[in-house]
Amino acid sequence: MNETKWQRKDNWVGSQVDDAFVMLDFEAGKYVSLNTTATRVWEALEQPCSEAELVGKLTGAYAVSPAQCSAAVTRLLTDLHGKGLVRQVA
Amino acid sequence: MYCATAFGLTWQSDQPLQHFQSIAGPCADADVDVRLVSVLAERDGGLPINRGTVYPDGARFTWDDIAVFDLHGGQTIDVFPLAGWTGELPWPFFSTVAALQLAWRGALPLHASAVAMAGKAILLCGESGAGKSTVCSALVAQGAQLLSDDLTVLRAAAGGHQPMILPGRPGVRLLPQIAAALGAANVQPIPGDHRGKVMARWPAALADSPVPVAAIILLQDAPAPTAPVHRLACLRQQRFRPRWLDLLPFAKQRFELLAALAHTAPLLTLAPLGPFSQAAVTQRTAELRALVATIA
Repeated sequence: MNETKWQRKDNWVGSQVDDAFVMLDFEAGKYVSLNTTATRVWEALEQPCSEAELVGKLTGAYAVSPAQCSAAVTRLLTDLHGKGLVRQVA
Repeated sequence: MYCATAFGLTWQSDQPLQHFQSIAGPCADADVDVRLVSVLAERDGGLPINRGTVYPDGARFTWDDIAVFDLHGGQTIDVFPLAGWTGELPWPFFSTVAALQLAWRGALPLHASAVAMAGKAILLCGESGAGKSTVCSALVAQGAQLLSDDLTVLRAAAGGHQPMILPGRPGVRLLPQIAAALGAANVQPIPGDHRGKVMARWPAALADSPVPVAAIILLQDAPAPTAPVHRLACLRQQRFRPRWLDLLPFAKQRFELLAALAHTAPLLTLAPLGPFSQAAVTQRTAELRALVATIA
């Protein structure tokens, strides 16, 4: 697992609406909706985190194997990066 | 000195505050001081927007050739009269300027009207001409309490997240024939209103404290959005002077308050009013009461 650190981009703001965490890009006026796991990752990325650190946080909270979790985190970070929510910091 | 209350603040001015709820006696501890000035302060580093500029310490809004309003730090508004000054604060002071001042202090202004029925606030949204003010007035004429018309201002409840509507101006801006048909007790002209609208009041109609939002009624034919992201986007479209709001402080807090509104209040729809008639108003207010009765 690579040690690249990830962090939120600061042009987004989010808040809970029903069972979704709805986020708005203030600069582009674009909305996205996160599920519970993605919300947890977003919250963790207030500070820079590597994939390994994120996997550690999630396996502590959910009944999931490190291997499954690692694959899911990789997919999620790719998705969040593609939508412009996170950036690599190191 | 004139003293008035509106949108949860006490306003003090050397000019009459004719469209706010006046307060008798001395104006102790006013939140906002409005004063006519003969010199406009030099201000640097602003971002131009629409009819004005946003500065690090406030904003400046120019209304035609009538006046320049200089907002400083959420506490002071300097009014610099221009060639077309008529001798009184023009309508945009009680609308756009008040909204900018409130937003500067963290409140959320919406383009909506609102009434309180049985202690619950009903927010009426819709495009211009959908009938927000007329339906609001008809409900007030039937005994509801007026909270606000056209400009509705929200804040989170003290120590919590519950969106509360602050009592605004004590009147509703209507065409004179509609004000008369709905039995307005007092009608005050609004100089410069391009459609000849008047400020209509009903006796003791204005609520005297903030009221929690119980429902949002969209006056439109299309169904209300249901997905959380679409509900929030729909409510965000109701913001008053949105381009200004994006540049003012507390944007994140306003977004969170909008989200709290989407989270706590059902979004319901009612058909737009259409051309005014007593029958249409009676039908629409009955439909609204039936809708409101369905919420917990």
